[in-house]
Amino acid sequence: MRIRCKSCLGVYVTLLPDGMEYYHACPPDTMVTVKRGGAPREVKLADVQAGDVEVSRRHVDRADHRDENIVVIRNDKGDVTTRIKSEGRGTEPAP
Amino acid sequence: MSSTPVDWRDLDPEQRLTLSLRSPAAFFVSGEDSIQLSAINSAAGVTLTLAGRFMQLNGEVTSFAHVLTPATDRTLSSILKFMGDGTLMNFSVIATSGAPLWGQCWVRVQIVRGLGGATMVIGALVSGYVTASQPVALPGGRMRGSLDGQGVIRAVTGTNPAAGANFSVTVPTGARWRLQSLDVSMVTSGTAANREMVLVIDDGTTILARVPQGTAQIASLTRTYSYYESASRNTIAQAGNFDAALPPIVLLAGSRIMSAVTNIEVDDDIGAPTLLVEEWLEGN
Repeated sequence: MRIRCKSCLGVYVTLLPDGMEYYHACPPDTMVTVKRGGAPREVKLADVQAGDVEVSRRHVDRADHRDENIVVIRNDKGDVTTRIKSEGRGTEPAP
Repeated sequence: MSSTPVDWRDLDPEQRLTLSLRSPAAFFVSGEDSIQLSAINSAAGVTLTLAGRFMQLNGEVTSFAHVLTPATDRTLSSILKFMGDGTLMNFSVIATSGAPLWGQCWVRVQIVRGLGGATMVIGALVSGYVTASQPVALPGGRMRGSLDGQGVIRAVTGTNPAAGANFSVTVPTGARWRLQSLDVSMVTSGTAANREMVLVIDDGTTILARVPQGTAQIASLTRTYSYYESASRNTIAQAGNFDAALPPIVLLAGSRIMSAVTNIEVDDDIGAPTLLVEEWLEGN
């Protein structure tokens, strides 16, 4: 079944052809520190301009990002429960 | 001892016990001990069967079979079964349903003091990967970690990102990946800009490697980018395809493999990436 993430609008399937589960995680935003006119500033990757001198990059989770990878929780008896790392805005069937 | 052949069924219990004490089976257990089968698994539809033979104190040999249906999310699943008084003679664990590949289903058998409440592991017997035709067993088996040997080779299709967004694939919880190849396409919109595909690998926070293509993709083009270990970077597309080399890198859970396309425009369309990875179960 094709699913659309309502946080990033990415489309994916939850069960791959080899029978293994796929856990979606939203791509992060890439922030770039550039020197523009001699002054440093941080901009989104898409907003880097010709003539900017790139200093560094970092990746930041977008607001309401979804991450279906699990967190393993053990109680003092060793019993295991799991939950997904971040719900985000949820999912919907992809058209 | 007489050389006359002995039929086990003709012996009385005391004679059986005497002979059983010469058995090579080393695992005499009391009624307080249980046998535990645990598994970490990533394959769908797997059922594991722990089957073997047990000799009671009266010398009678019985067989047993216990079934575990492990979770598919690489977390630890276990069953704990009472054995009674006597000697654990032999056992094997094999997948009796499903078709896990080598590297997808790791099992461990232990002797545990107690059955419920406070329990304590008092013996680890055997561990390793199993399939539908390759068991782990005692006698003859040994302790093998989930990171020993070859992992499972699998193709992973990632999320197809929305227009204007980069792709990102995260190594799942409980997995360890060696990235062998990656293939992804990018269709640029009519907006004039020089995009450059940059493959980025991080550990979830810190960037570990960047692989810039070194060549711009201008507006209104479709290009495919292929990464593999022995590739040499080409700066002129061959039949619409660019190649670049991957670092030989092993990634822990939570690591990300993603693009960071310079000057990406809102209508640019990156496709779903296809990765070939070797995967091991972390066994945490």
